[in-house]
Amino acid sequence: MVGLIPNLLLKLIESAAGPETVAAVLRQAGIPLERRYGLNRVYPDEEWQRLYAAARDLLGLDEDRAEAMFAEFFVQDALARFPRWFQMCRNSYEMLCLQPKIHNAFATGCSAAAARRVLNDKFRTVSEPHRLIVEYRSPNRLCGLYVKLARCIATHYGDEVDLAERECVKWGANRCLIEVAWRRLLHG
Amino acid sequence: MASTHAPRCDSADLRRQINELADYLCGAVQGNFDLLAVVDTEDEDMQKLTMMVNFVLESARRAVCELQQREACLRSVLETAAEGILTANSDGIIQTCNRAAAAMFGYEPEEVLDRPIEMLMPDAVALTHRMQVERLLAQPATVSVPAREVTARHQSGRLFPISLAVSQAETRQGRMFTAIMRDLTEEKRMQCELAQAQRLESVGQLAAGIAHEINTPTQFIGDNLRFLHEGFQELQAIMAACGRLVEAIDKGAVQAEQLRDFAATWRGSEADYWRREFPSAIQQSLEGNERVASIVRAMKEFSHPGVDTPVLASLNDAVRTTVTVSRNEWKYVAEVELHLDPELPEIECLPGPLNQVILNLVINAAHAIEKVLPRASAEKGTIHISTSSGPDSVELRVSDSGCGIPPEIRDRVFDPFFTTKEVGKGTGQGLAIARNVVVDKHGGSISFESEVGRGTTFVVRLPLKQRQ
Repeated sequence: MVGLIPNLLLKLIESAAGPETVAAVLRQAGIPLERRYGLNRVYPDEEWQRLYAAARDLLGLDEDRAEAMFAEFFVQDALARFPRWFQMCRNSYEMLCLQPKIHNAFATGCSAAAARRVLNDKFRTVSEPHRLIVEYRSPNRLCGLYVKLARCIATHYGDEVDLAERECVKWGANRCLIEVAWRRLLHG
Repeated sequence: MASTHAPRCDSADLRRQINELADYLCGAVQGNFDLLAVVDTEDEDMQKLTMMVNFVLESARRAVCELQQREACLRSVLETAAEGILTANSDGIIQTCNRAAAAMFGYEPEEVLDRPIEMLMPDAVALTHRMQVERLLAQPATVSVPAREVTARHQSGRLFPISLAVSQAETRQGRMFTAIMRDLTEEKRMQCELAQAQRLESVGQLAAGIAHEINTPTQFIGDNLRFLHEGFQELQAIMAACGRLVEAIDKGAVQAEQLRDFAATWRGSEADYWRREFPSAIQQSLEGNERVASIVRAMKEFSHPGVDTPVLASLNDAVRTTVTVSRNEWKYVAEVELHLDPELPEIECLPGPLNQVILNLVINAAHAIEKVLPRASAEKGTIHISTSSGPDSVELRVSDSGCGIPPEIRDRVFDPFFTTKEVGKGTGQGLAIARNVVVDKHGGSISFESEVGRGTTFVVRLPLKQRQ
């Protein structure tokens, strides 16, 4: 797991419930309080799963609600922190096509080749005109977060999309398969 | 209390981290894209910068990798191309040369790299080459030179024909020329063989007709000789009687008996008849002989020994010759009308191939007429052949009153092996060879005007002089 995700999760908890809750979440997850998640570092997936479960538990959020909140926060942070990524793309189609590259850019901070390869293999996309098939493989099971992020990004660009998860590890599949279809692209 | 706020770097740390990142970028500038920037920092902005540097390095690595793959692919295409492909800079120095190009000239690729392109040209061409390059350099890089035939020089010194097309492009090293070449030696040999085969085919086709043409006068020459032989036997008796009489006169003792004997011989012969008929029999035989001689002469001229270089020859003579040797091909279906310009100048040409062109046009005309004539009809069409001259060319027109060429096949009639004739009547090479001879070998032109149901006129224009 790239450090950006837990980094942002802790920021979200802090902004929503204060630094005490951040400490409580870390404690419940069994993570040292002094842990600082570097944006471009890689952490064990299992640590993230503990962190995310503790956060949902302490904030009293079900999976769907937690994903929605996190996606909203994630996109706002990304817009502020990485505005160029968004400016490079004319619409949400181009942005979501670029997304695996961005994801892998975070992984490039990892000097261990094997760990980098695992990160790089998490997203694979097949792009067609006005349609994108995203294959997601991760023990973190954040496919729901991806769907909500994709919707937030489409909203940001003023595009209209249909999102459907065709396969999911939560249903017993060995991968998640998400289909994004654009009904309308505001630009291009 | 846990805080999500990362500690800020002090300026010394920041300088160190920036220098580390700069080192990674310097490495990339030197072509080392495999390094990953790993900067030990808690500063999120520095982490972001590190990530971006890595992203740029990764993108550059992929781009270089892609470029290398494309270059390898392109190189493989170039190396396996049947055409010779080489590039040269504006100074005429060879920059790249594929295997086919090098082999065409008898070199290994590395033997021609960085050497002047003039090494692949005969001296005469090399002299004008620089001027041609200057002309191209004066034009935009989009201007290309379409494929044309030029003479090249093999490593052994042998000159050989190639097809050469040149394109150019602006590069960072300046104007670059790409030459795409094809060795025409084999193609030329095949063309020669094809033309020769067609000529042999024509000769074969004409042979039966010529035999018939020769047979007719031979027949009546024979008849006349037999007639003269018979008459001569009678004349021998008269001449013997005359001889005896003359002998008696010489002795001064001519007797009445002898005179009666001579008179009987004379009256018993058909001397008057022979006297009347002999001149016309002799005249006819001479004419027959002349006819055979003219056919043989025409045949000899038609089968003009192949010459590689143009010689001065009369197009009118070529027309007469060809019409003579092909008489049996057209005489049953057409009358041939000749309107040959008596002032027509001789032209520099290859007489053998040119005869072949005229023959092909005449035979095509006869076949076109045959198509429109009712079966077993005594009716005939007309083949009209005319010549005329212009300031620097001569023109030959062969018109027929035949079926005409349908519009849908007009753009294919000069294609090799295209024919509408029934099997055994044509191989579809006649007009293709005519075009090759007129256009490629003589720098002339061949075209036609046609009206379905009315006939066709082929127009051949040939320059008076051949370019060196």
